[in-house]
Amino acid sequence: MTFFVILGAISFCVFIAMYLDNVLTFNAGKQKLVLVLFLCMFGIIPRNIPQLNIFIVVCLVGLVATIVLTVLHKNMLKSIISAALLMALLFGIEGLTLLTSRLVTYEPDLLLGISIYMAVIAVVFLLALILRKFLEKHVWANILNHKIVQFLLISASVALLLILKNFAIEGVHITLGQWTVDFGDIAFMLFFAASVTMVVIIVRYVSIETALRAEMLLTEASKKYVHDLEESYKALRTIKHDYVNILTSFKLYIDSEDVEGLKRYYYDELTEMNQDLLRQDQLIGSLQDVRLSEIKSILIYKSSVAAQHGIDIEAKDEIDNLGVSTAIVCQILGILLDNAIEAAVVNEGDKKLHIAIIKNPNSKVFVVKNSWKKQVIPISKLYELGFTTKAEGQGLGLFTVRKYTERIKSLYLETEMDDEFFIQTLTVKDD
Amino acid sequence: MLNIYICEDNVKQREFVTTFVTDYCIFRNLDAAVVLASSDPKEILTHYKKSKDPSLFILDIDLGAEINGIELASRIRKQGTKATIAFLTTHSELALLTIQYKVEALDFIIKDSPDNIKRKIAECISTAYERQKEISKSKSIKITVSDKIIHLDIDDIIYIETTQTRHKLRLHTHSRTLEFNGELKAMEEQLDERFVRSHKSYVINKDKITEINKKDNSVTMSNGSLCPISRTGKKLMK
Repeated sequence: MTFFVILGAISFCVFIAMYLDNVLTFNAGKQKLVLVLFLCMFGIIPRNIPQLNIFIVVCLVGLVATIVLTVLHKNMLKSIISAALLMALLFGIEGLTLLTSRLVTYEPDLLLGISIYMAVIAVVFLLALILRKFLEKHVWANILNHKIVQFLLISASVALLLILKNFAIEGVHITLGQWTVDFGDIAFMLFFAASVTMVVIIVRYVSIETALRAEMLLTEASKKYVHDLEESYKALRTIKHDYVNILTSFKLYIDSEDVEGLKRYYYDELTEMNQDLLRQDQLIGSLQDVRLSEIKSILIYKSSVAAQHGIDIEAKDEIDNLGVSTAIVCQILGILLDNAIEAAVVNEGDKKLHIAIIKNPNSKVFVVKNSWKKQVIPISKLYELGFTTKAEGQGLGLFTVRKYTERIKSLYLETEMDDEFFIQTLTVKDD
Repeated sequence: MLNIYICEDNVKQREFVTTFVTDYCIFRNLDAAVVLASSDPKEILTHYKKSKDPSLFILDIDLGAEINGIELASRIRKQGTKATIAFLTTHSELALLTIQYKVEALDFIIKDSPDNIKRKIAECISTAYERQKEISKSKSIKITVSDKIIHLDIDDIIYIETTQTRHKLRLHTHSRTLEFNGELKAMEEQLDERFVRSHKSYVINKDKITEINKKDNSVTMSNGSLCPISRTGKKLMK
């Protein structure tokens, strides 16, 4: 018996913990004060006027609260919800108070009743606050996400109601003409409805929380993408700048008709510079059929980083549109290329990086293949948050990629590895 | 037996490759032989259509015929899975990764020095030979990723899981993870009795379980992944 009461009381506290924000949903201190005031008044009224029925009082309080809140806040719906929650809270607390009173004494005493009522409010709110803090900090998402826990919370609340009905509130009736309604029944129904709502709210809260977290991670990744994009434009500008410089030098030699100087400049100085420029040029040239400028610039930037290690880009087909947002594909490509470049550079043997962009009848495919120093890692581990083979770094990249492929229907990622190569194949299905 | 096909339009090179392959198979005592060496891709295709045995194709990319080696390869692929394809090529600047993606080429043999060619061909033969032995033993399943069909050996599959997207599954082998469209239930039916629906969102290969974690109701698979086990799944595992 005691066990059930405790179980019920705890679940009731969890319930209040969930609702704390919703009951006191208005930010302004005034409205909050009104609600607390109602709460306290309710403790006094029914005891002062014993003829008054608890149910009617609660309804009255709810009605008054709704009106007052609407006047104060002008949001009808919010006020009704708040008032309804307040009513549920009152029922629960009243039930607990009555139960405690019965346990303490059988003599109804006004002063004792009020103080027990206040004590119950204080204890419930205190416990609720502590629980809330605890849940938020430790197991909030995990435990409450669990269906079994939610089920337990509901059953415990129901158990409390049953106990209240049988031991405390028995005999509290409302008589409306010929019908007599048992308070316990109504409380039971109300509380049951409240518990169900509670579950809905928990689930929603948890999903919002998770979404927020994912959002944060993605923002982080997008920042990097924007940075990459900026760098790629910078790289392009440098190339342009270099060309203009070379041409200007040519003009100077031509103007002064210094053919010898021109020869020297071309063969001695330019050849070295040319190597780099040519390589860049080839890269850009090989990407001429990629019509999506964001994809192109990310490829140019990333491959110019890897150019000195030998990189091979195959883009024979014309790529002009993708089935999903280009920004997302860019971001994924950026991550895959970063990883590929890093893995290829770390490798002591051959440093090879191949990229292929392929157009299929119904999809576009990006293949990134790099040489690597084989490590014994389960592929599935690669995609976990925080997993990294790098000395420093957050292991965010592939986790972000997985986030996208999990949710976006037309993105498919294949990861393959053998002793020599690590291959990522991203298939983007057309609309 | 492993059938080896050679398609090369240059007579001298064809003879060189054929002689080497024949010698190699005899020398290594392999159950393999050159069944056809030709310059005509159509002849190769017709012959293969009839036999459909496990085969290794050594194809020149530049055939001087109306279809080139890559086209030939993709037609061979359409016939079935049991073919291993290697390309002979003079130019290394071809889009090799693209070809590899499209026809799942085993290797590219660059025609440089005869020694290199021999070494590469030898590698291809032994890979194809090993593969053929495995193929005859086990079943494979067909998986479609948008336009591409991938054949996977059932033995290699460790587990299949669902994703947050409807009808999208993720399959794991030791060296590969791939996402594709499908239903877990349909996959389960295609696989054999080693695979069980251990959880609403998982089909696992019982042979690949390395550890059972009773405490948190999960199993560790041979690739180190944790798979959850539901109550119904637990019953099925017994």
